[in-house]
Amino acid sequence: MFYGKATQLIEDAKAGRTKCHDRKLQQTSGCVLNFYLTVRVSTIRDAAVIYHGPLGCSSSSLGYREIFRSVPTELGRPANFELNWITTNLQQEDVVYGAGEKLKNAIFEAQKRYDPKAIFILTTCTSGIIGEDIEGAVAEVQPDVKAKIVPVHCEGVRSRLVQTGYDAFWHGVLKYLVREPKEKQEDLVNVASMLSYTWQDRLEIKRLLEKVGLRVNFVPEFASVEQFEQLSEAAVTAPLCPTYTDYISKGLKQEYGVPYFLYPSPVGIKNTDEWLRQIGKYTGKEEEIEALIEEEHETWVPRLEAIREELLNFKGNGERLEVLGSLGQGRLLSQIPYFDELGLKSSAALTQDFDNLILKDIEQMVSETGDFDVLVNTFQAAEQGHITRARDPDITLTCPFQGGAYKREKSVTRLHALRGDPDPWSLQNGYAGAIAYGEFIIQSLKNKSFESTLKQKTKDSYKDWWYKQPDPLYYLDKETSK
Amino acid sequence: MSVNQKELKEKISSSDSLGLGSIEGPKYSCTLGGAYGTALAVYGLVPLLHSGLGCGLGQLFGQLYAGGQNAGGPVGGGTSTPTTGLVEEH
Repeated sequence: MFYGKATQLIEDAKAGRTKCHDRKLQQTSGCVLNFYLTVRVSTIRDAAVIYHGPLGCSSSSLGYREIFRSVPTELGRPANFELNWITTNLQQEDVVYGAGEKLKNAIFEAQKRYDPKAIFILTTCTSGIIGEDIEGAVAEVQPDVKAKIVPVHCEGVRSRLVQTGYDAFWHGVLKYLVREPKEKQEDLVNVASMLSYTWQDRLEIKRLLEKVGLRVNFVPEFASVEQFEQLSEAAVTAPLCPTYTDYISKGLKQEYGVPYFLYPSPVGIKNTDEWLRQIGKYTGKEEEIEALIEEEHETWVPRLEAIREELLNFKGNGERLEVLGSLGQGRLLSQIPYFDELGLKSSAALTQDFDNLILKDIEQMVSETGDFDVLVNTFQAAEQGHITRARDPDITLTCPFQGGAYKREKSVTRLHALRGDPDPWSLQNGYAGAIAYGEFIIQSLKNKSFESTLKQKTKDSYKDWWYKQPDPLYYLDKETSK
Repeated sequence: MSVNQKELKEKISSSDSLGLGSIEGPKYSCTLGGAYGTALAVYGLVPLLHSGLGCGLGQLFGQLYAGGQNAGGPVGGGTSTPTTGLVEEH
């Protein structure tokens, strides 16, 4: 947890002084299992998922159709939309006596019902607390089960950082699914992408890479088990989000020599150029990529300039519009230069996580765009509400479901959409995305009827004293540190 | 499947009473999910979850979204729900 200047944060990180504190008040924010895995692992084609836990832990899976069904099959979403999912529904007795046999039975049942190529086993707080021997159960039944069983150790009690779930998932994939490369596929690019990049983002990435004759291996959503197996055969692993991709990237490099890069993500014109160049470097397509960049610039750069012009002159007094975004550290790195490209000013940012993964790149970015305030707080809603009220930026960008409650006169919109949003205006990646999101921001400034109605009709979520006291990290237990 | 495992499987299946065994894609949630959803539906009530950090957001993504209740409100819903956020050390 941290609130202060980015330069100070970098200095602390270098000296190993960054700290994690307990809180006196916490708000629900997703766990290792439920922030990421439940919704997404279940989209993997020809696979089944078993949740080893009480019934409620898999409840998030019910959002699966809500999230994805609005993507039309014409845009490439598989028409077969079945969700193969079993929960072991742990009861009091199972907690006392163990439920290894129940788990084995569920594995046989999944094999019989779905005949999948892989069975993912997702663990929960309960299976962790009772010390269930998952690996033992898997080793015992694997010889009798055709599907490859992939245990994922994502017990919620393991960490308050939901990002631990990404690593746990990729570890399972690397250990159990990825095969020894049969032959290298020099035109295959692995792209592991977060739910916070939309379906249109996928299409834009595909459009760009296919123009130079490369194929994209998108994992994990709607990927087939075969696509996971061939991760080891790709020419390069490219990031959309470095935090999300680092475990699989480094694992593929270490085990199978697949090169990777973690920076930049293809958000904004300059970042997309660099992202494509990196891919060109590893696939031997430097010249084609340069030609592509030039061709794309002709179409998109004039449009970006028009948006920049409008945003720069929006206030009419020569000042830039102030933007406050809630980001993960990956987006911190890609979005802030992009805001600069758009002609916006971001003198503060919120980030969900921070570690030494991209320290050098952040340092580089700060030296280019200038210092700013940063709040690292795993997205606690009250803290976000506080900093938003205190700084009162022209535009507040929230994470779609981790935004907290804001009521304000000035613009508030979303930082990004989710994969299930197929609308072209929700695009953010690549060149088309840089334009689409710029236009989205402009629109958010022009129409504020929603904000004013909300402010007028509803009360604040928190009492006045909370907004009046100066410290967004008021509830941090500063005595404890880890 | 070995003989042992066949026996094992039969034993487990026969011991499953209704609703206590493994379930395929249940369209409902746990008791915490039910209590949480109900508390959110009451105007002015703030639930406090004595649970892991994700137990609130997990219900939100699943049961509440799919059931059309969305984040609930005006206070205490969605990511505003206070929780004790239990982790390993607790």
